[in-house]
Amino acid sequence: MNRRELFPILAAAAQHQHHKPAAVLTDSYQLKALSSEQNQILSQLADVIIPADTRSPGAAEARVSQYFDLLAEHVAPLKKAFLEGLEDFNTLAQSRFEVPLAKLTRAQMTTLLEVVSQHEGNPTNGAESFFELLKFHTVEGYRLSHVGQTQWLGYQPHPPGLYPDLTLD
Amino acid sequence: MTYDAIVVGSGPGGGIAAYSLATQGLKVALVEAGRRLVPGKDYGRDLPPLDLLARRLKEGKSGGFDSAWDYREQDHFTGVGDRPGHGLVKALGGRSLCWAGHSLRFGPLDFTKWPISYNEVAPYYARAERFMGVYGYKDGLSNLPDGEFLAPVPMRAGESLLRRGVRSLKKKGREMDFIALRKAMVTSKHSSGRAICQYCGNCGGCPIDSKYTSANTPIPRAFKTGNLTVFTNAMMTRIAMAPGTNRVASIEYTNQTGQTEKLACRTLVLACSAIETARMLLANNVANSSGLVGRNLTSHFGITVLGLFPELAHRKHSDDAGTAYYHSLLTGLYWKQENPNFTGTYQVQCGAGAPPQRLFYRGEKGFGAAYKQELLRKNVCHAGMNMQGSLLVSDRKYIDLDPSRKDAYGIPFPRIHLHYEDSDIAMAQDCVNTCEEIIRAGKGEVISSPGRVRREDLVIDLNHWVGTTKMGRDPKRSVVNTDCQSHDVPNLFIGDASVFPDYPEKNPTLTNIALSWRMSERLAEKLRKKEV
Repeated sequence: MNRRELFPILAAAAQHQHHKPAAVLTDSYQLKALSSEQNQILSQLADVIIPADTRSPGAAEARVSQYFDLLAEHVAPLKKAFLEGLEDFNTLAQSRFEVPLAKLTRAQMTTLLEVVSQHEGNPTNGAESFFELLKFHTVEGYRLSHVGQTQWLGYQPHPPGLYPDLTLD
Repeated sequence: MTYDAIVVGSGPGGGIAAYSLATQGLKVALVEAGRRLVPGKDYGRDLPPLDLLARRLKEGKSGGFDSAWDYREQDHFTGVGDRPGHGLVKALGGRSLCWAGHSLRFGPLDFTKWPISYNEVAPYYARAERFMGVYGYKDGLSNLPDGEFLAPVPMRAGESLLRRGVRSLKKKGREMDFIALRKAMVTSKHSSGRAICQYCGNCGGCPIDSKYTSANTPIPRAFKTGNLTVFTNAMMTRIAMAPGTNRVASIEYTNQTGQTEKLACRTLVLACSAIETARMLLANNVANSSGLVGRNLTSHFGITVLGLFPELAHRKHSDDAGTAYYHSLLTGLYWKQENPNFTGTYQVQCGAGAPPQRLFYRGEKGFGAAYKQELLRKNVCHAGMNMQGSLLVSDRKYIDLDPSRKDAYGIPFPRIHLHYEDSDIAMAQDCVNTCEEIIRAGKGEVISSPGRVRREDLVIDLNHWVGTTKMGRDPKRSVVNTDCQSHDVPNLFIGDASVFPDYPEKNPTLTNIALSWRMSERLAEKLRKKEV
């Protein structure tokens, strides 16, 4: 094999390196700390916080709920906070919509998040505190995901510097 | 055997001392409390972010950022007062493994407060820059001298808009400058053979050894001389004096298996950090006839202001990779004339955009489509300004030994006393006001600022402590002489930044390396002349 023949292989390898999706978040991912129902609820909530738009898919497609499971598996205080927070949300869902959290429609979930985000920055109860935790980790899981890195943030490897179309002075 | 020199600590100062002494033909022992870490394996692993996070969580590490900071000591000092911190890495290379690489010469004005001049240190700066590989532009500033640089790295788009603000204020007569940073990373072919930077942004744990560390440049080169012996996992526990003399005879260290070993020496170089060197001298009651070991303590401290430049929003991708976050520097403030409200001055390290390591703006309220869009816009369009100010030296800032706590080796923990003074708060207030002015003059808007500065807003730099073995000509008012040699113990030398007698706003490491190199040459010369 000569040097020229190697180029496509090297280029493909480089491409692969830069665009390889994370192996942890796949269809075959096995939940380790959360139940499938908890995972499903977290996925839906995260997707309301970061929905799909024309630029990039939402948190559900980015598999952010699996990131939550990863955290819950290894960080016991976070697992406790997630489970207690879901319980708080469930209580709120029951009192407001008279259905469990798992049965809320997307519109009802949106309303629920509007309620618990009223005092963002100064939470006054457990559900409001959980909203802040949920939001922080949704953003963190999303930006670290393959979708977040390549589509939302749009990283492309090239040296830093100015942009040719930018007028500075 | 008796070593010509034992160097304790393998960080920036210790690494260059070992190199200089070994290449001058001395038999050198380098004693390091930690082990060797391998870039790309022990830190800086090249994996998709979530795969890396999964591995790190399994290893009991937090966060998704694979840095040499993971090896920072925990619970190794007692803090008193305004939230002092202390970054200490026990590993071959010490904190050079995780430093940001910022390499700024102190200027002629800065050295007017030292017992040695800029011209005495300048040749060592040049030599250090060539040896380390430092990139940068030649900016022609009066008190931040140009060096011998590799190919420069430009500032990012957002930082250029801050520069626009600075230019606008300069036209109105304000004294300041805005330049791209100078860092010890290889950007063009370098004699060390280190790899050229690929701009991954993980400088705190450079995966490819492009950034200068003691472990990748001076120590391997010193090895090649055949004169260097390295003792890793070796924690120095005692400095032993020759009976009836004022000379160091040997040191004791605890090895990996917990046994105590002894190394005899003709000279001893301490390069353990400004905190640990002072601690060791105090614990051994050595070289402190002045009573100044641990005093004259200072560091840098900071506060952050964020600006937003909407004109950056049209970029298709943020793509703000580079050599970590800070690519540029606001400098030249109060060089010629001090501000009447505070002592000393500050510089401001600036970054911009959305580099891969983290989102710098998280304060957006709400959720949903508008939130998602605005969070991205604010990060892509932001420029961050982080103050680095010289902390005022005062009687309320010092190191002593904690009488109630000892480490695993029976050595008392150091106690770090930090109390911000009115001058410190006034400096931070001036910085916040100036940063806000620059952002607005650059046609941006301020999106995050402390506004009125409170004591609790100030953040100490964990890694920039200096001053605890102050250099000077008078043995009553300093700990070491102008050769970094103890006034009290003639065969004891200091190779870290604790010797700095006065601290400008600039980062300490390049000066630490230049001074340690100079000290090592003086030490070797004194040994040859049998003066120590």
